[in-house]
Amino acid sequence: MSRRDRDASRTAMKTTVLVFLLAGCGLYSALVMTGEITKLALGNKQGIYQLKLEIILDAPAKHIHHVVTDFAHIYRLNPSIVESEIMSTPDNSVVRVKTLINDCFWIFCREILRVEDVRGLETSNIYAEIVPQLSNIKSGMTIWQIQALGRRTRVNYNMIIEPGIVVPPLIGSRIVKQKLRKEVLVTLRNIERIAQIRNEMGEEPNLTLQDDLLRRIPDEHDSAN
Amino acid sequence: MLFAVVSSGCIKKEMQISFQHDVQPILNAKCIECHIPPLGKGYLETGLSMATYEELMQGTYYGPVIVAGDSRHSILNMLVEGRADPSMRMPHGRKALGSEEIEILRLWVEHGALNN
Repeated sequence: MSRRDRDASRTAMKTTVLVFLLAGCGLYSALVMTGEITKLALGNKQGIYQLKLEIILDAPAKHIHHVVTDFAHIYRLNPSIVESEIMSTPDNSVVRVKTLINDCFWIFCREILRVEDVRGLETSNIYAEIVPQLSNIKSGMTIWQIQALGRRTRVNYNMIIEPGIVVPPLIGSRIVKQKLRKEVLVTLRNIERIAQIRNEMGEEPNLTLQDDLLRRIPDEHDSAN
Repeated sequence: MLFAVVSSGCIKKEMQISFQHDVQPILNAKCIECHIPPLGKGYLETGLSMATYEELMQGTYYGPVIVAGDSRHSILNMLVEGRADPSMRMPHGRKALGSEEIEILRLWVEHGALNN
């Protein structure tokens, strides 16, 4: 083997080691940021998908709650969100949130319009129900249970969804399940990251946006005066 | 000159948008008042500085605001186009950017958000 060949071989070896090290670092940081998943169940029955997940997020509960209900900044939670809007509703205990999600699988992309009525904003149990007539999702509901665990947070996430698309049998269901799992984990990871940043910055979550929203929607008593 | 071309509706996908000549003037006129360290309101709230190309690309405390080559998923474009909630439309409390300005920002990002 010539000296040039030996040098080339060494360079290739170094590059390979570097690639493995970088990949390892990426994997490690992804695991750290994703929190600790303590329960995960994902099923499909007659086209209705259910995802149940319990995760421990490494940020205080008040910040997690704030990030989950900060609908004006909902685009920060998942890079698939390309449009969002907080819509008015006749019921002032509900916040109606519209999101347009650009979802791709391999080279196939489609946009999913999701409108949800969100209730229980001031509590640790937040309910979000799909408004089917305004969405291109047939039906769905998500329940968030947010529980403080010292400086960490246990989140129980339960989602039921009936997509408004025809899912091909056999592999279709598997793909949908994989996508659901991945997107939920991306969202949770971002919620954790943003909550950590807000906590480090000493931001106090006052839920001012939600208060403002509820004030903006006049009830019958106000309008009569 | 670019404005004239844009206004005439002749803008083409191939047209090269310059950060220095086309994008930075828009940011300077409409955004930088708030997004400049150390005391700009937008900078204090989000950490986003538009003083230089590098700082713009760095984004906010929460992450980048530009996805090079993809204006649809770029938060900067989303916020100036009013695709997020109206309360988030940029510039805050000011007149929205004109359609030509929005288009320049969109094309610049689509073309790779270069420092050119």
